[in-house]
Amino acid sequence: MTGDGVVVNGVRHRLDPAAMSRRLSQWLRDDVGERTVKVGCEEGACGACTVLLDDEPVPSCLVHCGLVDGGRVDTAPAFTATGPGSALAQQLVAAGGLQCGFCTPGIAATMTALLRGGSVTPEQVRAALVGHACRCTGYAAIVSAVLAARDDVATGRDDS
Amino acid sequence: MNPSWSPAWHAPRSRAEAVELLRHGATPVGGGAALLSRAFPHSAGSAVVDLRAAVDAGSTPPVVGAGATIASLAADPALLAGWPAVAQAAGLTANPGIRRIATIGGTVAGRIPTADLAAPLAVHAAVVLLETGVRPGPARLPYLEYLAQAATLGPHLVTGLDLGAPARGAYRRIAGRHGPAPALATVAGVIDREGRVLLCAGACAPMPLLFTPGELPGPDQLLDDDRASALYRSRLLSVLADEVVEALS
Ligand SMILES: Cc1cc2nc3c(=O)[nH]c(=O)nc-3n(C[C@H](O)[C@H](O)[C@H](O)COP(=O)(O)OP(=O)(O)OC[C@H]3O[C@@H](n4cnc5c(N)ncnc54)[C@H](O)[C@@H]3O)c2cc1C
Ligand code: FES
Ligand code: FES
Repeated sequence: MTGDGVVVNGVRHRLDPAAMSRRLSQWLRDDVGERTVKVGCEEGACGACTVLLDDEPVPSCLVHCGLVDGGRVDTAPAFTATGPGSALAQQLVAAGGLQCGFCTPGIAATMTALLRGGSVTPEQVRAALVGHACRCTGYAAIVSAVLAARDDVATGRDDS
Repeated sequence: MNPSWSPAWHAPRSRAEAVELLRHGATPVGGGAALLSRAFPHSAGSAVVDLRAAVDAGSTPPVVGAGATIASLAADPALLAGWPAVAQAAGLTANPGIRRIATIGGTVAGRIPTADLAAPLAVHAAVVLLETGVRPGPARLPYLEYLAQAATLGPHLVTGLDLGAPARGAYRRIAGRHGPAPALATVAGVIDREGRVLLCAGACAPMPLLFTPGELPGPDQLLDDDRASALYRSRLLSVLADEVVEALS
């Protein structure tokens, strides 16, 4: 991963030298204009800033842009457009898995990666929620939504 | 980090180039988790060094490259089989997102007193592989000596770890709440070649403390701070040590 810039949601963006040591979250919001990336704590504790980096969910506030040079970042508009991420977005709405929505793009990134990996148990969903804080829902509806999305994917009811 | 503050970024192509940059005062970046987190005091100077071309990201136990992530250690079948205390501690470090970015080099060099990996590395008598800016070429320091001397070593690059001989082992931690939170006390244990149980306490003293069953560190050796009293920590150690010994029996 070096030297080519970063492909964000399918579009390549150059990293200028001053951007290399900045937080990926900051660059995505301010330079790329990806406002769906939310910033809560900048400590690595709340998970709101989570994005998919080469398909792996990571807290983008703790990643230097320079470490992502040559890599691929997907944010909520991209990974919820089709497939498991799309099924998840629909089920989060249906199950009341979001209220204010601040935590949702980050949680959706983590859960999309989990759903893409195949069969998912409630324990795996709860374990994956570690590192994400939601002040509104109490989490139970989020777990239900992920499991419903899993069933949609298994029965081909997602639009992939 | 101030939003407008952006240290110069260097991506050296070799280890020698990286060490040279460190000699000139640049800050090494492993995963960047501690450097960027507002929860930790670590910070970069006016220049930072991307270590990806300078250290190995793979692990072939007993040797683990400094660039290996904590998540990769937690899932490494060879580590789970031969160094289970290390693998278990890696799997309980921070949260899954941080484990995907944090490196073992940054974890060792960061010397966070509550580090989950400290007790397992100490009880395995792991050796830190490094290069200093002072003397050219690779050097080796036992992990506990590294912790004691790191502040006076001057600019140095942790290149990896030698975990030593495989051993049956177990790891337990306790924190103020369930889930990711800094440990109040940890215990790692292994069975050595003579069949003896060796234990190490972490996160409850300035340095990991080696001990044997029945010879627990006393409150006078333990931290007494606003997170927990020394007496409480000694009680925690007693419970954790029993659990580790039971897991090993
Ligand atoms: C929210 C949060 C929760 C956490 N919870 C836990 C926990 O429960 N248990 C636990 O053990 N840890 C925990 N941590 C600490 C975490 O594990 C460390 O931040 C992480 O391991 C550091 O690794 P890194 O590669 O990102 O280091 P970096 O941030 O890159 O570096 C850390 C320090 O080491 C230096 N450095 C980096 N690599 C090298 C190298 N190869 N040679 C020499 N110097 C180097 C850097 O200059 C810096 O000073 C937590 C961290 C966060 C942010
Ligand atoms: S803003 Fe990144 S984890 Fe909270
Ligand atoms: S929906 Fe409001 S924080 Fe989760």
